[in-house]
Amino acid sequence: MSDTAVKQRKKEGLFSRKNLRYLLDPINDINPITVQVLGICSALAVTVKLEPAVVMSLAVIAVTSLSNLTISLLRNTIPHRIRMIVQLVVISSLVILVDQILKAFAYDVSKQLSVFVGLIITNCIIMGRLEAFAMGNKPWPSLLDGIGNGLGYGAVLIIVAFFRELFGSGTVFDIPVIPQSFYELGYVNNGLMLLPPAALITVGVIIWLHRWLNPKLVDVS
Amino acid sequence: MPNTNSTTYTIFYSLGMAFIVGSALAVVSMALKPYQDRNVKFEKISYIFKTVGFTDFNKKNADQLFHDKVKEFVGKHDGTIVEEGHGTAFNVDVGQERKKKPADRLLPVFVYEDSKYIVPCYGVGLWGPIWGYVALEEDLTTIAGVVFDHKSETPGLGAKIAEPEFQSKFVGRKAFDENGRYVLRVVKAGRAKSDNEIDGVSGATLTTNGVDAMLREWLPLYRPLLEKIKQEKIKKVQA
Amino acid sequence: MLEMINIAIKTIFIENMVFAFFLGMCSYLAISKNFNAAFGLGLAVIVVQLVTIPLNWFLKTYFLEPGALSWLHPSFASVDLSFLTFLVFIATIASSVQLVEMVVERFFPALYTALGIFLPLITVNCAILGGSLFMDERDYTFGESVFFALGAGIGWFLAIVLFAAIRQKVRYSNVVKPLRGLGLAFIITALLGIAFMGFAGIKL
Repeated sequence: MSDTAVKQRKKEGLFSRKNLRYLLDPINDINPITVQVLGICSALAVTVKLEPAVVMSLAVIAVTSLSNLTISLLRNTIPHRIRMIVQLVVISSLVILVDQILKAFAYDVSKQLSVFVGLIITNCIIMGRLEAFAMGNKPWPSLLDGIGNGLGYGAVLIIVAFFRELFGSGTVFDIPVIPQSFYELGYVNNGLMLLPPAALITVGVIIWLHRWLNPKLVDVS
Repeated sequence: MPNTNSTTYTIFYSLGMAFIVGSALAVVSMALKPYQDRNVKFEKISYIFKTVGFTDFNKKNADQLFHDKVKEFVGKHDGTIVEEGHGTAFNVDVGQERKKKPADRLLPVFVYEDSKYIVPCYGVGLWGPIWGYVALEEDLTTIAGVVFDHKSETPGLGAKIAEPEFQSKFVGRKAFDENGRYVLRVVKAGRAKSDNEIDGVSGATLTTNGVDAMLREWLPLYRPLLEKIKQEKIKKVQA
Repeated sequence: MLEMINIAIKTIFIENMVFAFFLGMCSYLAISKNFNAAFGLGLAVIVVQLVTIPLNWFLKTYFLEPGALSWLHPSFASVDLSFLTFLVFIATIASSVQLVEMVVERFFPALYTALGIFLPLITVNCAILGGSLFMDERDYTFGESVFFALGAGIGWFLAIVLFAAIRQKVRYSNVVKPLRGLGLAFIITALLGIAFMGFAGIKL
């Protein structure tokens, strides 16, 4: 990897504007969740509290970036006929690694995430980026693209989790933030925010705001 | 560069990949296994200690403390003791035992400092399995403490069964009447009227019902075995 | 038997793959613009669930679980291959999807043209892998896993068909511009999810 990276530095800076775009575009203009509609499955179920959402984001960032890197390094050797299987094997091995590491060193969080760690495998963002980017680009941009998409995904996850935890449980990272006096005045945590549909509504509203602020994304259909 | 579309290349490529990936994962999983096992074991010890309100332990000394303070028995519903000693009850998986007929189940019992009897139970909540440990006082009737946990109950609602606020309601309640009949009820939140009725978690009636059903299924099952263990202990003291 | 049917009913209505676990959302949102396509994909998902979940049950019980290999030789009783679970499940899914595709093409050409491009998409449908992972996590018996597969498939089918029908109607409504399309799709799904929560009170 260092070899290719060095070669590239001669041609253009490691963090040239073009490379930075690979990293930053997925966070806003081509956000995997709100614009490309990818990877929603695993996103929503872990957003009741911030902690699992943050861990899930880190896990996805690790898997997208490393799988993009690996596939990009292998891209010229992969037989065309079995390329989907090769991609799946790379992704699932990385996911198994993440799962095993979580079970060994962050047991409580791994219990909360349960099957959703495994579902990173079918997170369409990862397959989508491998197919659309890593198969045709050099390792360094691929790595950046992977991190960028992971970050874009994580950003939405964390925003959703923040609002759900704040309004649903009155806490942020399990620390109570809504003052006791509010409760005494009759404020009640919104139980609906804890239920699955609230995640969808929150994402729907985020998409709405996102498109309102960034009108070129508006869906005409 | 070999022809990446030839069949031979494809076959060798997949075999090579399977071999490399397989062995790499095997190595990692073996290396991390001890850590994972330790987590699982520590969690179980923590449950048991928490039921009796003992919190002065950490990852390092938990094993030793457990070994010193807790006696283990495995028995059956009819009161026969099948096994006793360290590592017997600890390795019984009540989730697996639950698949058998009640009379055939192996029942694990933990005795904390010769005075409190701790029994595990296992049931189903709204979304998935729930489980718990109940500590009974010497009289085998009064609850000294409980711990519940769950796989996937709704966070903020059903998941509250795992929080001290709910669990503390059980302390001091009577699970059985004078005749040894099981009388404890976990009822819909706000409906508890008598001393042996406990308010469930509000907004989580189905999880609450799961807890009620779980306790009703397991506690009476343990009762004859607990009496037997207690008699054995008294005999030993007299001898 | 009744218990098995209960599992199926529970997976269709109460623990619906889409509304309770958000599984298979990508294809759910992408394909539901067209009612017929949604119908075809839903059917394909039922078939693939019914093939992969029982198949993965076999692999799990006879190869992957701790001690599962003891039928080969008693000395293998201590082997635990469960760390390979994800890899084996996804491989089974990818290959069964191919297999189903070939069988359908050979024997039901009409259905094949109807499903056509949607079959390969199913490999990356989270509902399929999710189904197998839930089967593993909940320790179903073989019979239970068949009924669970049936329920998971039908539940997903029901969700996408309902949603596609609503979406066709919504196309003619006047919605604020930034909310059109995707944003509203999420909110409709949420409302459907809330409606489905009404089933949670069913006593089975």
